This record gives sequence, structure tokens and C-alpha cells, in this order.
Amino acid sequence: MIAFAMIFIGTPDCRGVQDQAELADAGHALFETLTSSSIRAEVVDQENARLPGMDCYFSYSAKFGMRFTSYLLSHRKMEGGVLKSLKSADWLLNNDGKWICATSDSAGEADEKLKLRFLAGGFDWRSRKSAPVSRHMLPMAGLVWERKLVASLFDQEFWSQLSGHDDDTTRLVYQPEASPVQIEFRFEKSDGKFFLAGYTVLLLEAQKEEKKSLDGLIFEQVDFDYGSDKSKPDGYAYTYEYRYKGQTQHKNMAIRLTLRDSREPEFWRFAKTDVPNGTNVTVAEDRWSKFIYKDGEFYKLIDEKAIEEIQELYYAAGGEAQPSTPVLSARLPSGGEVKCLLSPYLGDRQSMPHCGMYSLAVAGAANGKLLPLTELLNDPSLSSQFGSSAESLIRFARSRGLHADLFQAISVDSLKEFDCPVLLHLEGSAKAEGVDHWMVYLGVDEDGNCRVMDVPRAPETITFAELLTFWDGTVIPVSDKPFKRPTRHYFYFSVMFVLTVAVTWGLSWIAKSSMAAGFAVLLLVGVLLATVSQFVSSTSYFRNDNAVAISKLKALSLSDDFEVTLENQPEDSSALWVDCRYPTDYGRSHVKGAVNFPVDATLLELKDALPKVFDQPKIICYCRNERCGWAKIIAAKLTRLGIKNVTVFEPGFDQLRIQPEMELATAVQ
Amino acid sequence: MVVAAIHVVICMTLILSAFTHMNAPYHYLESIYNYHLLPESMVPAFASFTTALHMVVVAAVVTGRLAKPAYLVSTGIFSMYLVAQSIAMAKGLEIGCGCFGPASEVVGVGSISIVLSLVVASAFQFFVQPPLGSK
Repeated sequence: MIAFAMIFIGTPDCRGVQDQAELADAGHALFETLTSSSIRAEVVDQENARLPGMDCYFSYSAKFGMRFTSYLLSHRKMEGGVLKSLKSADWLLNNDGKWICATSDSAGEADEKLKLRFLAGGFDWRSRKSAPVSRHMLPMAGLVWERKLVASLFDQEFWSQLSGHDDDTTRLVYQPEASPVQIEFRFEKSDGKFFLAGYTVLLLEAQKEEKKSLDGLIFEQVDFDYGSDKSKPDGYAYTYEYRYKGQTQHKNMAIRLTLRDSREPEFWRFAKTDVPNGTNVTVAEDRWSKFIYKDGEFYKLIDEKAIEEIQELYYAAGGEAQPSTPVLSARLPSGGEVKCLLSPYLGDRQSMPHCGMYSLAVAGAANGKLLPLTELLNDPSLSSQFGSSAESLIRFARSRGLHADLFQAISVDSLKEFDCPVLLHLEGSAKAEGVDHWMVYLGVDEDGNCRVMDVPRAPETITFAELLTFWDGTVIPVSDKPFKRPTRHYFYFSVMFVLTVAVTWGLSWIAKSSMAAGFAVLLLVGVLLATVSQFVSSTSYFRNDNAVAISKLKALSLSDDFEVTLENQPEDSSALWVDCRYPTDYGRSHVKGAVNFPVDATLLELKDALPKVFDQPKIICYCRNERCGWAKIIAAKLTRLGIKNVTVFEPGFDQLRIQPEMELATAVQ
Repeated sequence: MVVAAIHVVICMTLILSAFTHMNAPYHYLESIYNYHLLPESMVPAFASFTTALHMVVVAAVVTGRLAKPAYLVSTGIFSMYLVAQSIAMAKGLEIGCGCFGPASEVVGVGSISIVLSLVVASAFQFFVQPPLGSK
């Protein structure tokens, strides 16, 4: 990168065409340097252009042996032959059309107006918007390291180290400046040139520590929080909370870990622990990392396999799902069970933008056609951060030989006509405003209820009335054979209308010439029709209390001041606990018997939670701690629903879980 | 000619509204809750009754027997919607008008203008219709 900048600083003003040519020559010279070294790289494209808002730029792309293409870009601003600002370079990795930003550098005066939006199909790394995969699915830590990694790939000094190696396989270690992160690259030689075969990111401290373990200590993660670290510009703070489980002498021992990513020396330091000093114990492992405690400090070890997963996620290329991939089963409307592989990167709820993709995968599996998730991820229109459009889902399904079409404003009667899986378009959750949702309809069960699958939840049953509270009537049936356009909703409505006309015509004789009588007849027919329609309909308001409650709940506005009863020492053992945290937090640990009622509950979460909170003598809502306001919101909403005796335990789960008499339900990692 | 055209517009509006409310009854229910104007216990009955009334008005106009009272009813229905939407707008509520199912537009000047036009059109039809029993 330094060499790159040097070339630019040495070039003259680039205001004219001739200067641009010079600039291009300089860029090309850089590439010559790269390609003539021991690196296996080939120039696949080059371009010079003058773009609106930019004095000049040029780009080169090259393949570096592995499976990504790198683009080099630069912008500089010259005034009177003096370089005022230089921005170089944004490294973007491209795999089959999917772009990811890596890093950038700048010199001279900052030009904040510069936005490289024209790159990367809308990805703007400065605002971290429009990152189709990483923003939603990759922890920020991985992103930071990935940037460092890619930056190192373009460090000339680093690459020059390879020239002294004669072995077919070699490893180089790179440590980004002022960081305890160490990246180990593995190179393999082919045709006399090295190509990058893989890499591993490690924390230096973790590598140094001695291998000792304290057998028998098992910790469970009970909480996780993430947010910006206000003490540092551009910093992120992670708080993991673990509780020791199983050993009497250490009961309720809590560890609170705060991780800071501020590119400062305290990077990945943990704030507090009750683990006896001197012990060395693996505290917990997640998919990508392992926490290690030693001499009063915690370290996070990222292993090679983890990086491969991150890499796989980033590039979303090749290969099927991992061996640990969860398998969910789905049932065809006509019976029979099919299994669908789901990506291990799947998040936990519908706030993710990939619901359409996964729903399509389930529908494909239910038709006996496995749609590889990597292919779905690679389609930018399917995996965008705004989710999948109906058009893109249909296009993808058809490209795989499936029949798919869009129908709108249909009723549940017409939905039942389909003898194939159907993608249903739903409103998003209350919190994900403006973001809609897809899930899969899998037919009708023996009780006449609707079988749906809202990935990653297992298939489940809801009433059609409950479905109608979120479903907007838009569907995409997906089938391996042609299907008919649904017509029942027109038919039933026509029958109802003809009956109404007949009854109105029949009763109109009563009115004779009296206006008041005519008016009364119309109201009477209206009442009759309303009564009959409610009586015959399976989605009647008067037979579906839960669906009515969901509608009421969705319409509740708490913009006005609301009051809830707070309590600090719950003593009523018969009370029902309502956990208002996210389902992931609830899943890790909650008060035994508590009902999860997240503040941004989805249709299926509301369907599960609402029936449990009615007819309870007392309800106590809790959130994480007193700083979390969700318990108050849920308590206020439940009160507005007509549920009596709802209170809030303000100290929250932080307090509950350390109370010895409190029985918890936990998921052991 | 104008009278016939207004007939068609009003009837199409009411029948389309009834059709969407019958297909998506819980969206209509939610939109009525959103206005916060009726006691909550009355909302389901009100929703089913107004949906039916839309159809009844159209049926009455189609039969030609009770067109005049039908337009009185439709004037009342549209006036009610006009008042509800005006109150919602005055309160600053950003809610769907609930006019045509889930695809309804947000309450605002546009939706209020349409309802106002329908009130005027219905009232006009009421006055131009011959009295009952005159045919």
C-alpha cells in the first residue's frame, strides 16, 4: 500500500488526458511489480476513468490464486500540481459477483465528500451500509480482522518475504501494527509461483499461554450484549456473561467479560472475573472462538476452523453445508416428510434479511429439490440486506426448474387450494419496521389448521386466523409441477354477494315507500350478513380470541405516558414470569416456567406467548436489568389487553439469576 | 351519464373494500384498532358489520329497489371514515387508512380527499335518486 501511495505522490497533476495516461502507466508499473514477483497473480482488468466528483481514478483487478479477485482503486485531489488528498485503496473482494470491502488508506486532507458508492454494487464501507453478508452475519471482530488480513496481502514488504522460500509449502506470519492479532498465511507453490492456500488468525497472548486446564469447570453463557464503546471513537464493546455451573463450591460464580475493539492495547481484555487467579481454564467455546482464562486475564482464541467458517461466510462459495449444519424437517401438504439443510450461519429470528432465501430452500426441499444455500447466497438480489424480492425468488425457483408465480390479495380459502409449498409474505415484526418477512406454508393439518415453517423454527401449526394477522395475502407457490391460479376467494365472495342481493331484493318489499323502513331494512340485512359470515367462517373474530388479541396488540400505541407497577422483591410464588428479552437470551437462561414475550415478537412468538398470559392471577415481567425498558413496555401492553395484576420486576434477570432460591432453566453449551 | 358513472365508482369502491376486508379481516380489525376511536370490545362487531354493510349498499343499488336509502347509508359510512381519518391526521397518527386491506395507503391528505369526494358523490346520489315507491 505504501508503494502504491508513493507511485501516486510521484506522479504529476492528473487534470488532462495525458496525465491520466501517465497515472495509468504508474498503476500498471505497480502491477508489473506485483505480477513479476513470486506471487501468482494475473491482471484481469484495468480501467482509467474520470468520474463525477472525482478528479481521477484508476483500477486494476487481479486474481491471487485463491478464489477472489481484488480491485485496487485510488482517488487523489490535486490543486496547482500539489497533492491535497489521496485515498488509496479500497480493496474489494469479489467472488462470483459478491463484493466485500476490505480496507482503505488516505493521506493529505480528508475529503469526506468522497463516497465510493459506485463500487461494490452499493456497498459503502464508511457507513457500513449495504453489506449483503457481513453486516448481518459476521461479528464485527471478524470484519476487522478480515480487513487487516486483506490489507496485509497488499503489503509489498510482506510479499517480498516469499522470494526466499524454496519449499512447496510455506507459512508467513503477519502482525498488523498495534494489535495483538496475528495472521498466519499458508502458501503453496505451483508452477514455480506461490499462491495463498489459507490463513489463520490468532491472538498472540493466547498462543503464548501454557496448556493447563482445570477439569470439571463448565461455564454457561447467560448473557451477551453488544454496543458501541463510547469511550473510544469507532470502538465496539462486547459483554459476555458466564456463570459457573455444576460445582457446589463455586455456585453462582459469575464472570463478566467486556471486550473492546478499539484497536488499542486493551483490545480483547476482559474486565472482571471471579475465577480464582492462577487457574487456566477454557471458559467457553462458540462457533468461531474459544475463551481462555489465565493469570487473571481472559483471551479469545480464534482457531483455523473458525476462520475457514468466516471465510466461507464471506465468500459464500462452493461446498455444501457444514457437517454441523442443523437439519430441519418439513412436511409436504400431501403428506410425507422431507429434510432441509440449513446454513450454520443462520441467525435466530426473522430480523435477518435471508428469510426469503431460507423459505425458498425449504420449499425446494419439500419439492425434492435441494437448492444449495451457497447458490442462494450468491444471488445478490436474494441475499441483499433488504431481503428477497418476490421477483428474485420466482426467478431463482424457475431457474432451478420449479414452477413459481406471484398471487396477491388472496384469501385463506384460496391458499388451501395449493397442493404445494407456498411462500407467504408477512409483515415484519414490530421492531423491524419496514422490513417484511417470508415464511413457508406447508398445507393443512388434520384439525384444519395451517402448517407453517418460519426458518429457523421447526414446522408448526397455527390457526388461519392467526396467520391473517400478519399475512398480507401475497403468496408464491413453489412446485415441481404446474399449478392453477387460485379462484376460491372470488367464488366465495360472489356467492356471498349474490345471496346479499337476493335477501335485499326480497326484503325491499317491506320498505314500500318509507325511507325510514328502507334504511332499517338495509341495516337489518347488514346485521344478518355480518352474523352469518361470522358464523360460517373459520376465521371469525368471535371464535379466534388469540388472533383478535394479536391484532389488538399490534395496534397498541404506547406513545402516551403509561404507568406500570414496579416491584423489587417478588414474593408471590404463584405468579407467572414473563421474560421480555430476546429469544436467544431467553434460550440461554431464564426463570424456570417463564414465558418469553420479546418486545419485537414475531407472529409465531405472539401465538405461543399470548394464550399463556391470559387468566393468570399475577404476571411479573422482567428484562435484563433496570436499564432495559422492555419489561415495562410489555407490562403496559398486557395491561392494555385487559390482563390484570401485571407488574415489573425492575432489577431484572441480572438480579434473579443470582438469587439462590430462584430456579433457572438453562441451555448448557 | 354522470349519475351512472358515479353509481359505478361508488359501487366499485364499496365492493372492492368489502372484498379486501373479507379476504384480510384481521388487517381491517387492526386498522380500526389503530384509530383508537371505539371501545375495544366493540371493534370486532363493528368490523364485521361495516364489511357487510358495504356489500348491502351495493346490493341495494344493484336491485334498484332501495337505492335512495342505500346512498344515505353510504353517505353515513363515508362520513364516518372522513371524521375518523381527520381525527387520526389531527392526532398525527401514521396509520394505514384500512380502506382496501393490507395495501391501504397511509392516512393523509390524499386518503382524506378521496373519502371526501365519496361523501359528496354519495350525498349527490342520495339527492338525485327518486323517492321510494315513485317508480
